[in-house]
Amino acid sequence: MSVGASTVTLERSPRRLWGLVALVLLTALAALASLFIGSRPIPVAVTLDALLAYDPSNSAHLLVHHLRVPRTLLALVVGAALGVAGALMQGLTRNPLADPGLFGVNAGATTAIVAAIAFFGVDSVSAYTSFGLIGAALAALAVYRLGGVGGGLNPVRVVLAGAAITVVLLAITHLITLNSDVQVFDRFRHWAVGSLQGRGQSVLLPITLLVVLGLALSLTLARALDTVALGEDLGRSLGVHPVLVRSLAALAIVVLAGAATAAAGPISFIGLTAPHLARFIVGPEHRWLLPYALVIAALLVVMADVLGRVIGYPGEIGVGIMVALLGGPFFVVLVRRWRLVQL
Amino acid sequence: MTITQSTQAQGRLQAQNVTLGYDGRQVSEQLNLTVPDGRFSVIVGPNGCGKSTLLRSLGRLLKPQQGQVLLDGADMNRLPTKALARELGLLPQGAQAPDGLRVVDLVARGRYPHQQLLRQWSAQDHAAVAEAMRLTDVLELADREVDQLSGGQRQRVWIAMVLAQQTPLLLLDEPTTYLDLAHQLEVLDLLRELNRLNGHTLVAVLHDLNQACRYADHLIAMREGRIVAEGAPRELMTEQLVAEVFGLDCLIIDDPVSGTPMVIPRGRAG
Amino acid sequence: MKPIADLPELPFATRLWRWRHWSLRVSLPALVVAVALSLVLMLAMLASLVMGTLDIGLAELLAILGGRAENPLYHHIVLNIRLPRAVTALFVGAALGASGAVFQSISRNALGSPDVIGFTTGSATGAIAQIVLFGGGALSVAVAAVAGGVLTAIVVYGLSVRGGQAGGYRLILTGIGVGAVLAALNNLMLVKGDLDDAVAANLWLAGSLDARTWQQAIPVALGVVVLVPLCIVGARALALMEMGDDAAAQLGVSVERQRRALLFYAVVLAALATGAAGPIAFVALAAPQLVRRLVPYTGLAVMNSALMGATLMLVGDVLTRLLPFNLTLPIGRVTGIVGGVYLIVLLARARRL
Repeated sequence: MSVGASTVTLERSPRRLWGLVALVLLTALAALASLFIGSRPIPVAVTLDALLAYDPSNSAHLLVHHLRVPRTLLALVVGAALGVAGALMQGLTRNPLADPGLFGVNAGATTAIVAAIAFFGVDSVSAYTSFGLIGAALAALAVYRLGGVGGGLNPVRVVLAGAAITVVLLAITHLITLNSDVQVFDRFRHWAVGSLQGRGQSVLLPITLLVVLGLALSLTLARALDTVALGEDLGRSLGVHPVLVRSLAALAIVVLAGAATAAAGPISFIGLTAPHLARFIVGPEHRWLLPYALVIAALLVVMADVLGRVIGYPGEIGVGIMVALLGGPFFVVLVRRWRLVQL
Repeated sequence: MTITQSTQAQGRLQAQNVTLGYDGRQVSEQLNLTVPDGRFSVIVGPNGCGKSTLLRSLGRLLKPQQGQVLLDGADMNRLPTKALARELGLLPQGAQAPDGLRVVDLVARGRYPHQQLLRQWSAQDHAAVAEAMRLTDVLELADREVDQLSGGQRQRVWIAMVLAQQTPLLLLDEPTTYLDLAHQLEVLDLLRELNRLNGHTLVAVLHDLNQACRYADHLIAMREGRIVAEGAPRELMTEQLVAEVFGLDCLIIDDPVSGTPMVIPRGRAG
Repeated sequence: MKPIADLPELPFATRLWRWRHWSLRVSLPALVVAVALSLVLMLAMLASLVMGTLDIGLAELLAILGGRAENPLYHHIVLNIRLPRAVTALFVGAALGASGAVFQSISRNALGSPDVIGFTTGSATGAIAQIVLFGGGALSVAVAAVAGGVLTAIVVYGLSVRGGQAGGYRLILTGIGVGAVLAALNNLMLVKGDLDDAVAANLWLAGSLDARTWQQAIPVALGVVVLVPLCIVGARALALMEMGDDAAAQLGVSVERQRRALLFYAVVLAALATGAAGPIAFVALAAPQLVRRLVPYTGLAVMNSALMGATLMLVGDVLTRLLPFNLTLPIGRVTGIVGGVYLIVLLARARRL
């Protein structure tokens, strides 16, 4: 039997690898499309020039260089971060409803940004990002302490702690918007739908740094997570320290989801569903699940961002909205058709 | 103790031309089976041959796509479910105890079909639960939480639950999984006792062929969704049948303890 | 079978009450909690009627309730303003608590709430569309919210049925998908809509008990009186379904029929509550969980969840009115803060959950 099993894995690995390669290529195509499509029409040749022979005195080149390139990169980074964070979160809590926002990072960022808008009159995107990061980190710390993530993690307890802190923070946010000037709500509603509009290099660089750190941590944990999933004792006997692995995974989730939310606003659907889509394709093993979730989520975010610009022309529809409008029906069809892979 | 081929045996529970499957995927086609009354029947067969599917359809958990399962000649899917649950019990695989539920309260849930909204607990209920817990040796676990028990203890608690149901017909899907050898024999002895003393009709899916031969009055061998053969173990178990059903090259000798057939594998059949 | 006298004592978590050939099993801690919650509710009810910009003494209140009011203005304030508000709070909370208990059991998930099948998002879609696209008044917004929620629940259930079975897991995932689409539509309407309409919608989304009349109080009260008992009856079957569909079916539970019936009751309860007070955060999620922290588990605690929900709402409302600040503090968000903080305290103190 064991011989049969190992040949099966050997046969299946290349297929998974090719699947991943195909997804990466698709994502690259979508990213290219994102460079060429925008609310201001720029001829394809000019865009190519801007990429290959950049001329700072050409306004079209400037636009491509300073807006479209960082925006596309940010879409990839945010998507990758949310996909991996979601997969880790669902594995960690063994709960298919778990969204990376559960650690309170979305709510923390939201509250901090509303407070910044209402009390300090902040209105620049890069300042939002800093406040968002601080808020996300504080909320995650609270959930971490309250949920007892440090010592023997109890999934239900973490989920409840996250839900409790999230609901309190969102209620506070709501109260702030209700009791402030209408303009505060106006700015907030545009941030809250999730958008990549107007995020330049100043947002891209720090966020990318954080996300790369978070992704590196997650991918190194993949095998250990599979072992922990077999159960506390078996994990320990296979030489993995479950508490340490879980704590590091939690840290990775907070870094990834916090960075993504701070950069693009709360995009809820991706972190929840990209892991489910990945699980449909490759099953529950983390060492395949994480890369697949990463690429699928990046692909979805870039595609949604491009389509949001096409459909909303001459304005645009926020990426958070587009992701859900496109992904939702697709997800429902999958759930109906496919055999479900339970956690 | 030879028992004659029982195709004409009396049986309250019958499957007639049933076709079984899930979501368009067919597992079995046109099965016919009469479960002999008052006997201990065991279904054997390799993994994925449709044993559990057949058992679930006999226990009305799976509605046949075609054909019908009859209890006392009546289509089972038309009988009131609670009345049926007083006649026929089934221990399913993969039941979960809700967090924090205690052993005695879980076993008591087996009395549900005997209860009503305003008649939630009678002396018979108490007696049945106590008896079931005594038989399965879980009385001293009574106030423990089910999710804190070992796998073997938990399995005995679940068996206690279906015993508390006190049905004359009892179907069990792999009742000995998670149990160590001593507890496996204990459960099987218990089932045989129920069968011999109380005349319960039992059907179990078992994996261990030798245990099946030792305890079964009536063996049902399945392969790829079909019933290949059925009858008393002594008549049924031949080296040829084991090769056909399990793809196993073996020697059959008399079990030195019970005298029933005993399968000694030589290797996989070429 | 042995005579009863020989039988061992069994340490059931429930006490047995007998009368003639009837018998009921009651969990003593559950009973204690129910009585305690009822007392708190009565006190909160009194406080809610006495408090306000106009001070009405206890003696006067009793006179008014007894129909012996001397001052027609007080009579009007108590019977037509304060009482409808308190009654709305009470029954909205009870409806949400019971609904949440049913949903958590069906989805076997501590996060289960009417939102699992997209209900809350769908009702918000109905209300926002009514406000932003058609500029509807209070009553038509309430109707649109109920319609949106119920329609969403039906669509999610319909989409998740396959081979005659909905199944907990597929139901949850379908709810996520449909809910996400509707949430996106809601955001789209809020962002693209006129700012004044968006502010109005934001106010509705906060949930409120202000200016409630008997028109809002009576439907939800009737719903609770009829449906909560039905849920309590169904809870026995639902508790068995928590062991898995097979285990419940073999005990004689008609699994899919019970699930459909109870989902229906729970959705209608949530719909009536939303129609009466807008979306109320967290009560449906927190009430059953709080009860579970207080009472050892024996089965599905519909009654106590309803009482806990009512307590959260009514106490939340009283506390809000006690606060000295001149702020807009809609009850829907205050319950979020009160319930959330209470759950946080419970979590911080509990060593093991």
